[in-house]
Amino acid sequence: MSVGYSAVGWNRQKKIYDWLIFGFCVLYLLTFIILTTVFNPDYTFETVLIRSTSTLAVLLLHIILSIGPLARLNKKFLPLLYNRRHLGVTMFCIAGVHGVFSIMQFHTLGNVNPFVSLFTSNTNFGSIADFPFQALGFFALIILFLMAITSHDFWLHNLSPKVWKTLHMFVYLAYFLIVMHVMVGAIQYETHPVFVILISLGVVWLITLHLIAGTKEVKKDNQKFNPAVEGFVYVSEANEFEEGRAKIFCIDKERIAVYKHENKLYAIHNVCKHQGGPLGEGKILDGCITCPWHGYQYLPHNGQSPPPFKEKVSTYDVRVRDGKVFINPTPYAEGTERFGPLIN
Amino acid sequence: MSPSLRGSKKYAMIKILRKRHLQIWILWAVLLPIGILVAWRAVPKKITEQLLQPEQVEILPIYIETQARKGEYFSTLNTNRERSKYQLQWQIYRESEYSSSNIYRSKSLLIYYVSKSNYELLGRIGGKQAYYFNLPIDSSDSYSFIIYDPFRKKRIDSISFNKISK
Repeated sequence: MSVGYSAVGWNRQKKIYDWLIFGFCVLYLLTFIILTTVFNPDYTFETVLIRSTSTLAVLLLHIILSIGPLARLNKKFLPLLYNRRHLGVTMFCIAGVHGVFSIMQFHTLGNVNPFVSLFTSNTNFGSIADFPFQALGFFALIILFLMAITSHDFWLHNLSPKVWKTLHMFVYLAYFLIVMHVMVGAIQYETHPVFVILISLGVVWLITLHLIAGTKEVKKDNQKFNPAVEGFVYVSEANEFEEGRAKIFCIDKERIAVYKHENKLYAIHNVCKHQGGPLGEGKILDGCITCPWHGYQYLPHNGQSPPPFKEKVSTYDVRVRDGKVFINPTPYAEGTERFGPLIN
Repeated sequence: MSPSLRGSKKYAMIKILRKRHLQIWILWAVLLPIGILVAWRAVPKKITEQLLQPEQVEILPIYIETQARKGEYFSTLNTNRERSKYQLQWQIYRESEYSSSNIYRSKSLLIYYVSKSNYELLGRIGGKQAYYFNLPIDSSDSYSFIIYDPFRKKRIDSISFNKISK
């Protein structure tokens, strides 16, 4: 949570997660290599490596892009979101191996600079079947590279959340480029329909997930409440709150998270200062509201991160009358201490 | 009460980003299926299943001319006694960078017969073995061929034979 650079904050959960990623990748690559050796012994090692890393990278990218909407639709996926960056960096490394070996294989045997060869050896931009698909993969790899090297919080703070988030949204462009890289590249040579079916299933899966999750978000934003009385808006019944968890209400186009903690209700702004994570989808751990994305914490009564951290979010007034919960949607300055009314 | 203006600006950005996520996926929901469909329709149909020549070709007995190249392969123009048929023999005896480095280690290179106005695909070559291709009959005094690497989109070699050299 500080601007200064610090190495990755390893904890037990992250270590287990990373070992699982590592184990899965090794298992996948070994299986691919062994099966290829058995069924296609003529293939060179470079070819097998290029193919195995490409398919693994595409698979991991689909998993990575599924995590966000899955976590929005079901809280059980939140631990994956917490560790998503490690998976992203792993995916880039595997895609990087694919890219490097592809360039070595196809562009280093002549007397032309490999990168020049990459862009000049095929200029059939007017043809779909002969389209220079390697260039698409190259640009996607550049995007993934920029994302991987800026994945640490050091860059988030230094680039500003807006620039960082915008940069990392380019992953969608990278995904588009990769799908087309596969379609006008490998699919043109490997004509078996199973490959088209697999990539199409991946695309349909991701589009469906993102549209469902995105539509759900829009519905949340369009929640209707009765006009305020004395500045307070009725939002919910008090007995609908679960201890240590929150309900999110979008009032006047702003999302407010109302947490139940020790039988009292506290309202804070829903957006985490770290990466804009939805604080209301987290839970209270060790007395602190904990962001589901990366574990940033805030005290319920004042919206401040516990010392020595300095992040702060706005707080709101909450009222409980006759078992009904009311919120005043006018925010207090970030970090302002507010009284949390008792539910009973 | 003192609302935080600084905070409001940041929150507005988050809301815009949330909207942008959905907009991008709506766009992809249109563009990606179109891209997949267009690319799939462009896939050459059954190219790997069509044999350009019969697998077993009768070897013609008379050698007209043989040429060796790069210590990797030699090619021979064959004919029959009546000189009514011609045949190209292509023998690879050492794997070159081309025959061993491509995605398809065997039969990765394309060999074309060069006619007056066109290139005609004779077949695929690669790996250490001999290939025989029956040639079309034409009125010219020579046969010309090119070897093409389809993956690097590059002409690797060209070779010509005189039909009446022997």
